[in-house]
Amino acid sequence: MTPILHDGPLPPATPWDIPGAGAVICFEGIVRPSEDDHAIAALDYEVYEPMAQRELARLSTATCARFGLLDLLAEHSRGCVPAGACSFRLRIASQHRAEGLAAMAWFIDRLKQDVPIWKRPVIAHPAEVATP
Amino acid sequence: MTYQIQLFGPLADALRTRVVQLDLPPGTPASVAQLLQQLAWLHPAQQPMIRSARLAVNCTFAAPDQRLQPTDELALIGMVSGG
Repeated sequence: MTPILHDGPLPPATPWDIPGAGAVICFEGIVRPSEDDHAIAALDYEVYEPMAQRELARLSTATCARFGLLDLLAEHSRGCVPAGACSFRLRIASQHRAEGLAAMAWFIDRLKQDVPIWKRPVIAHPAEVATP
Repeated sequence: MTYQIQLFGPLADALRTRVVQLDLPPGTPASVAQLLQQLAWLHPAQQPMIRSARLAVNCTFAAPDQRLQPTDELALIGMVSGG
């Protein structure tokens, strides 16, 4: 359950075998190619590291307890993540899908309120913007 | 008493620094609310951002009436944008 912070884009998900799980749900947040109608090359994530680790761990524990989950694993990027790459992954294992799906939304809502991570757009160079 | 507050993201951009230093009168340790009031007073243009932010003391969000110690690690956490 220990949250993981990665430098740059998240690597492919590693195997995650949770005995007894009837539902394993994975959410991946992908950097979109635009932000506020501007083409971007990447997002640069600034992290207040010690507090982000603590808040992610606290949120993970609270989510598992609230929804009766079997396990939960959160991963987030720090630094530069190019458009199209994954910057956030949340995996949840539960006995049944109902609590897993509810927990997924609950966790992400609270992450977006409390975890000290900030994104800053890296504006795409005009030559990098694809033209139709 | 001097307090150092770490800043991140848009707050750091707005105040143009990653660490702001506040000097408060000696005596009774300041509360979180007093510290933020002083910070907002010193930076009137950023008052809305400061008033909507939360102070973290030793990596935990603090209540307004919490008293601060000289060894506390302080960080002002504005609107976050992870996930």
